[in-house]
Amino acid sequence: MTPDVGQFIQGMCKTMEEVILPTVGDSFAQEQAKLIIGTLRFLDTVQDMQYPYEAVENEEYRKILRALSEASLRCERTNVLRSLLDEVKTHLAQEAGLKEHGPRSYRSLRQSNIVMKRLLCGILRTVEELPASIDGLVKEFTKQQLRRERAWMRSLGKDPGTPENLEEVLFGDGEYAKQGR
Amino acid sequence: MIMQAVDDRQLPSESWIQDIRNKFRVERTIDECLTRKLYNRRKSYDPPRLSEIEQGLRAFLCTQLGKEEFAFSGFRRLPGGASKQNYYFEMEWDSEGRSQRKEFLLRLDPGEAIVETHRMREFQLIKAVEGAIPVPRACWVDPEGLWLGRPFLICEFVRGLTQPESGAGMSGVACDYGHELRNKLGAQFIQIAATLHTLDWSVKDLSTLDVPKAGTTEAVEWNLAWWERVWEEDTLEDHPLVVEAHKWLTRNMPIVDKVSLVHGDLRTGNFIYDPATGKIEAFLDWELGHLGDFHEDLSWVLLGLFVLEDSGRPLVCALMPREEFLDRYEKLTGFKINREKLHYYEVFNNFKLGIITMASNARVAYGRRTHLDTLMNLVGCHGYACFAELAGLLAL
Repeated sequence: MTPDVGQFIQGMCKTMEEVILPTVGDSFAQEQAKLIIGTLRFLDTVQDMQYPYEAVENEEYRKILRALSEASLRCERTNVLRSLLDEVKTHLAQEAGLKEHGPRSYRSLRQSNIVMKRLLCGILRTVEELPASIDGLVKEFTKQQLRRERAWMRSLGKDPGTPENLEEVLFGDGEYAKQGR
Repeated sequence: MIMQAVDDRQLPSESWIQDIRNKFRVERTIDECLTRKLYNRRKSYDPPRLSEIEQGLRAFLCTQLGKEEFAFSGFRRLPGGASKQNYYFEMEWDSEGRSQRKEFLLRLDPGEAIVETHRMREFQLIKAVEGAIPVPRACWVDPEGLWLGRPFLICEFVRGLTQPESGAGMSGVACDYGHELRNKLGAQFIQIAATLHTLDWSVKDLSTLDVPKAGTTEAVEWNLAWWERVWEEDTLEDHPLVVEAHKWLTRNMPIVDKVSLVHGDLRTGNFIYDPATGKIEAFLDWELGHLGDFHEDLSWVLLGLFVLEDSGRPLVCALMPREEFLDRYEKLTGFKINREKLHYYEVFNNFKLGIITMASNARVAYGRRTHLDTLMNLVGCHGYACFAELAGLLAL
């Protein structure tokens, strides 16, 4: 694959900065051009992480939903909960089927993650109080999601805290990190 | 683009809109503008050209001034601002035998804004504080969008800066005024907050605002419903933290003892100052104003997103240390700050700002509804920092 996405982005950045921006007189258009350059630079740092990000998220969501579907949850709106849990089971079965068919498209991963986010939040809204052990799992799960999200935006430098490196968050000390990029 | 999963929100059906309206009890005019946003999503967005806006504006002014002859010049779009489209123009006309020349700012609603607000509310709020707080004089308003296709407000243009020309991020984030200017601005900033919260709003024309009962949680309920509804209408995907935060906010709603006028976005980056004198010339962005608890504004000032680290010392709104701000505010107002309420509104405000940035910014850019879609995506990234602060406040 030549040129790759990174090379395309770097080329656009250079043209914007060296050719287009110097000729823009209008202050509003100048501001917008600088925002485009900033966005392109950001994209260059994360574009190859978009797929692994969704893949990790997919794995995490499947785990938490499986744990919820196996727990004994109680709430007043039992019909709503039952319907959500049925949907979880169906979705997880579809996911397991997809995994057997080799590489998966980004779109498929992303769509599945959006569905799983809706299901998880639906359950959390319906069940007022989770059993302590499950509650602990959900809290830890949410923390990990927040770590990923902050790390995703880290290179923009807009987070007043100290978000972690995206690769470290996604891959930890695994094989990928050792190989370097 | 993941169209299928978000179609209900992007192309809302009549029943979907009505369900949302029935589900959340919000103020009348908040319902009006949020509902208009949903109906607008069903239409295509064709932004008018600059010349078309100018033409419509001239026709509007002609009607307002009652004369066809006036000098109109300098019409242009301004940089800065993320919510409304801002345009500058100058006018010269005769009034009662005297020639007048003034600069104006047109604040025009985009196809969809990061905060959908009511121009008449904003107009009334500015008028209500005029004379007590430095504000741009509000001149005309078209809340229905009859003249330019979308609602707008016109006020007098105020010259100055909203943040230092170098070393500041977007809209007051990481804003470093330097020691001398910081002291001058800080004193005025607290005075403005104190004046606003002690103002007798009951004698002002605020007919577009619903009035909550003091001694109840009504104001909090409406406010929480407002932002929960926005999340429901705008988000591109669900988030477990929002569910947990909403549960906590519902369980812990504090009583509002004294109903005050609340700015709703009281922070650095929302005032214009003269860099030479350090005088605050105008406090801006009254669109999120409502009646509620002064603790809400105070905790907005404390938001981590607007904190500046000055040699290891965190300064709220890049102006002063947190405790100094709260102490000085108490002395000026005579109010006693309730730390539990302050904590509640810190959670609430991170919830609100997280929703604006994570849901509304992303939605606006997703729907390609403004001329600022690049900025919308970038501002959206602040949401994760708000969510992180929110998780910390909830001890997650």
